[in-house]
Amino acid sequence: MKYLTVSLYHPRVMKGGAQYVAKDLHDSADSDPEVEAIMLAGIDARMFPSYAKTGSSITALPDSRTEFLLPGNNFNDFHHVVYDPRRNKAIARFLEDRKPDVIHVHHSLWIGLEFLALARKVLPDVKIIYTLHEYLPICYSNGQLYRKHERGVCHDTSPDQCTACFPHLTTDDFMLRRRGFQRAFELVDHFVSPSAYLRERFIRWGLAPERISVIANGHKRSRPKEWKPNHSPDLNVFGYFGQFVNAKGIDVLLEAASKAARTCEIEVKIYGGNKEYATEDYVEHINAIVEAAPDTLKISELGAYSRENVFDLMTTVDWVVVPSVWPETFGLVVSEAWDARRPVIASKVGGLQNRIVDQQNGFLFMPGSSSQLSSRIVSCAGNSDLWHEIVDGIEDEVSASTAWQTHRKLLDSL
Amino acid sequence: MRGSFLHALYARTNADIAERFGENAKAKLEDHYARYGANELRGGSVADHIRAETVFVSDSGYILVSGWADQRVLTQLHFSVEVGYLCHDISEPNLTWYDRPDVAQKIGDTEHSCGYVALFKISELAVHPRICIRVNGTTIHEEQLTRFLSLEMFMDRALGACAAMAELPIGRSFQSGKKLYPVFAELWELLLKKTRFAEVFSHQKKATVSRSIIITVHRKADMLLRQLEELASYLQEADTEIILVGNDLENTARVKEALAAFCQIFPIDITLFVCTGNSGFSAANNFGAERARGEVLIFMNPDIFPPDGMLDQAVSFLEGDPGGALHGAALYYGDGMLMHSGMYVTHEAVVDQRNGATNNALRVEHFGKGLVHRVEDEDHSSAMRMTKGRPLLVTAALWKIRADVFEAAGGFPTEYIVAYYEDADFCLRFLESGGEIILDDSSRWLHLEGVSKPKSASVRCFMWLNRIHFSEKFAQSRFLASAEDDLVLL
Repeated sequence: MKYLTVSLYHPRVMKGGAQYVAKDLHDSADSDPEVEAIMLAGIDARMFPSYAKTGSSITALPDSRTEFLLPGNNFNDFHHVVYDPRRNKAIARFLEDRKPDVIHVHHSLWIGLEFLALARKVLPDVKIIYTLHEYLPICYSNGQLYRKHERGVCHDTSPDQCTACFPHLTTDDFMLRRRGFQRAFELVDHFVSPSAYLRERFIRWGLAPERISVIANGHKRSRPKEWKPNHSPDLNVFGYFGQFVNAKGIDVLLEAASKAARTCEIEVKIYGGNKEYATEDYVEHINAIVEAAPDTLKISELGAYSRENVFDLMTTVDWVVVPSVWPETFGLVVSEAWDARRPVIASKVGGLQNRIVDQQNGFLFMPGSSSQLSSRIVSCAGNSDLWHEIVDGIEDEVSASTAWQTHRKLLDSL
Repeated sequence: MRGSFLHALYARTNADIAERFGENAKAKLEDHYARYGANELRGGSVADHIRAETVFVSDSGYILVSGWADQRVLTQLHFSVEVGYLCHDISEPNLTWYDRPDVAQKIGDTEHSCGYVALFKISELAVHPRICIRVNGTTIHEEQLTRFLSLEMFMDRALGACAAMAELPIGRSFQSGKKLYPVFAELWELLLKKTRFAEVFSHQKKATVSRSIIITVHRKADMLLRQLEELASYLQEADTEIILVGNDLENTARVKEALAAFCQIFPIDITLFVCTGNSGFSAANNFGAERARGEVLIFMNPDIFPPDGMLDQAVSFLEGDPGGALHGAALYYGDGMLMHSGMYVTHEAVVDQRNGATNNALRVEHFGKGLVHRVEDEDHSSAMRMTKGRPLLVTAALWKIRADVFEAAGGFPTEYIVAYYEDADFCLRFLESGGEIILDDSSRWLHLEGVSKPKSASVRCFMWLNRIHFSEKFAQSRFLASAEDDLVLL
């Protein structure tokens, strides 16, 4: 079987959850003796000009014979189309020459929805599967289903509701956007969702239930064999791992920790990248919380982390807090925390609530509720019995190779 | 009782007159005052009673001056314009007065209009950066570095400067519009003569086509690819071409590139022409009709879409032979509610309450707008109930007509500035010449006309001017619905 992975970015060009999942699946497929795997990653050529060659729409990823890049200069980020004739020619020839039996699309950003029509035109019988990594087809607001003005999860995605986040656009604009996605998606044979929550949201949006399956994102483990989990002496170090952006709820964590620190000493470590994408008023809000924090709360902002060091960093905290106020589709950080046997305290939102069973393998609290989280922090700090009880209940997320096998079964069924 | 003329005071305060006639020449001094002095406001200051607030000068000699004046003091306004070292006396400043409540409150005159617009042309203007505008000999505007506007920019700004009139109740602005329209129509005609069309992209694979869909886009082609995507499955198979005409098209190179990429995936027959400026709705569509190869023309706005999952009925409309009639379709808002199941024209007497002047203003209304009827409803009878037995007009947002019929009817009228009212004009002329207009209620389309996007000042102004022109032109049409009928038609 010839298996083509089409992704947004490549982890080597820019790190990110969706591209890690795509690359892991590609690697798993590549190691499958029955599969010939290739990968094509769309990238923003303006952001990464060193990967773009003048006049060449497809370039090779250095030191790889099976991975290629698709740099683009024009991308309509509202309708998710590119429509570049030079690029179309290159893609068409790429598909004609490689003749994949399966195309696994992981994104439309910098790929363009018209890729689906082009692929179907060049290879009418190819099987196209599409993994939905977030809610971008439903939500123009970074695909997060997060209402900036309400600071809460968006439950009603009717086109008129979208204008509340984007007042300069009209209901008709959003209706057309939805139609464009839905029309393109008719060309997909099957969709993959990493969580039941995301699947449900896309069914509500218009996908037929039989067209979308849940397959958890596989995880590449970093935990050494025979490694035994332990914790800090005071068991009061709470860690945040993720992007430093509005919808991730760092403010909720800090407010909760400030309240908890009135009862006991607390330490919070923040490993958060992409702070430049947080809004100015959000950063000011965070700074104000930090300045007002009691002396019994120690806050350290330690910058971004990577897949290569996340296991070691996780072991420097006792508890991992995932305070997102947007409905996380899966929560890669949960897999990483489980790998490091750290109990997760997470918002009861999106895919997180599908994975964490309260008080068995972690804890859940209402999204945005700093008071609930504060109570949980107080009950966890210094509580060795509770920590061991939860750690014992943690099981690893499925491995990348298991996830690949599940995908193979799905492909065989199509 | 008329007062006695104070000749000694006149001579004492006007040394030039006293020197010329002598300080005791009572009759000559009084005669001079009656002839010239009163108008020049000797002994007073003209500048205290008139202001020029906006001045636009075009490189082709058109000048717009707008501001306010107290008509009781300045009973006549004589404009002269100095351009460099040449002085031009403006015999016909095309002065239009309109209400300025803000000024009226200050100068105390609520009976006369005090806002004015003078729009005139200096023949054979020799461009020079110094401009001085005088009224009755007094300078009201002087600029050492004048920026001359191209005709298109001048017209846009001049329309914007007159938009305040368009905001007034139609009864109070009708006369102003009647006066202004001919000047703007002249400008518009000049602009149209200057515009040119060029073919920038063509993907025509079919030797012949039966029908041509003409789409005119203005500036932005945002929805174009979405519209073509919706129709692609039909367009690839049918003997139909797209003629696309871009007025003032932004980023033409990108549009052209996107169309080429589109045709790689969806090989449709399409040609893109771009206009050197904005030729307006009529001229662009007329040009498209000239270039069309099909016997049947379909005029389609770029925001017309087949309803989701209802392409078949849309295709039926496109494929059907219109015969000798003009066909329209039922149009719906994006939310699925009915927007248009035909149009009628009604009239109403509008009055300027301050002087009692009455005019007959026409109004175009859409059947079906506001009816609780949705695009997917099977029973369509309520949408058409009121149209039976009445002269029916259809919006050019979506028309189907044979090319020879369109040509025989004279095409779209280009006398309307930029856009609006040309389709109603065509329909009324078509009806008057015995033509038949049919609304095909089995064909349903969405019209996503962007309900919440505000219109610019210049657009509001030309809509107002076009309405007044339309009202004047068809005031006596036998196809108007009465004011009484207008109370119930929906």
